Amino acid sequence: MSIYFVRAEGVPLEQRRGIETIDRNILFILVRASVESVAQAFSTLKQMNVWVSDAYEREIDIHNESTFVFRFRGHPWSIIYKPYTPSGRIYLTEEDACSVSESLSTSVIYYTGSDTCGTIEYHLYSNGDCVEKLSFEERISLEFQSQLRQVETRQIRRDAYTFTMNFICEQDAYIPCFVAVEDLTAGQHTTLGIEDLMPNEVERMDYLAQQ
Amino acid sequence: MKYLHQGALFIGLAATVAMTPFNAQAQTCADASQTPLTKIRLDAIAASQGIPLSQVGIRFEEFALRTIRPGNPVPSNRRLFPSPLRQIRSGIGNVQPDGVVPLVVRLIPFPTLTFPDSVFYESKAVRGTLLPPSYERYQILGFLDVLGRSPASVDNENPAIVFMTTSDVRTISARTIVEANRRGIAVWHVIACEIAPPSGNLQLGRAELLNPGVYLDPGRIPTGYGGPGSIGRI
Repeated sequence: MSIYFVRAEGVPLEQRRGIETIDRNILFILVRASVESVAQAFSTLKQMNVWVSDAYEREIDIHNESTFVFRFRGHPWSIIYKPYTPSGRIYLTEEDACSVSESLSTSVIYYTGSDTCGTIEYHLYSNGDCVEKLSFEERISLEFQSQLRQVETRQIRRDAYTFTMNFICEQDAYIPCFVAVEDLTAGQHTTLGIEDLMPNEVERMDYLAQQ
Repeated sequence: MKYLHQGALFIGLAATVAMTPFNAQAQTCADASQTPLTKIRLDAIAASQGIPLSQVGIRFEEFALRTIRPGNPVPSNRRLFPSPLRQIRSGIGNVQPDGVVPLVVRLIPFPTLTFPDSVFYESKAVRGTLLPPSYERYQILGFLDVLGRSPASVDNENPAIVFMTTSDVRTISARTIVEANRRGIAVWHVIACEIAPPSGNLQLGRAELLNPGVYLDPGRIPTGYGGPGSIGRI
């Protein structure tokens, strides 16, 4: 499988927090719940009728709209990741994050960063309510709303990237960097794996798709 | 990606230089009937195709890498390159260009030389910026820092960076050009355009060189950095 986990050397993955890179186009939903319950909630929400549990390093059949739900060992958040494919019609959205937060009564972070567009954005949901939200387009706009703290947007504007990195760290969360160099094509039979991500670094990874 | 070395015949050198667009004016489309693609129009095209804004970046990057060199797409880079200078300026110790390819130098009549990791391709669908060194927490400076220590630089050849952008980026920041000149790095720029009638078909123009001095001083002839691209969609 041609998805690569890109990380700088240094801190072991188990202890790594924050944002791995702002130099890519990245979108993840992080959920403070088990992989099992996140996979259940997301497959229901998106009508995913293929669900392979605990699939890391196992042989699977690839179907449409491939999605991974996983958790790094030692981390408190499960992550929903949908690799980019030109034919994909299902996208991860902030509405999905809100729905999962509500259905599981837990905290969810929707994070997207695009170095191509010079943007960074996150939403933090708690039990289905958006409690903090930042949307930044470099040299163009900044929006920040929070029910948790009072911060002047002027302060954030100085360095919205660092502000966002600090937020992710404070949540004890980690935004990894995955690069998909080839499309996942329905009909493929392959071993589910991410290059440079060791099996002992993954607590569990489930595969969701549509048949 | 390629250039001919100073061993080229002088007649050939003169002819090639005259034909190469060396002025740093606003970039052009591959065809006069096309419309330069702004970020706002790109977002509108995405919306019309049911693509959410969160996907515009990766779609534009994929389009640019796939089409800039017709029949020879630039592979997506999956490596981090350490940048001590970016570390000092912003606390981020590496950069991750969208595409990384070798520099190929033809030494007429000698064998071709290849220098790995010495040409970066970077896509930007942005507005309100000309991509100065400080952009995205000194990402641009980080690229130049890495290229300035690339295998091509070590061998006193010219590495290069190719910016593939929306038309909002009229040219590349003069400060970026200064930093590139200091390191002997060629800066190329190409914009995306929409093919008429507007239906979301896009094409990159020809990559144009913004700092020809880096090649002219040592008497080199740059060729083949890509564009006009093949027609594609996001």
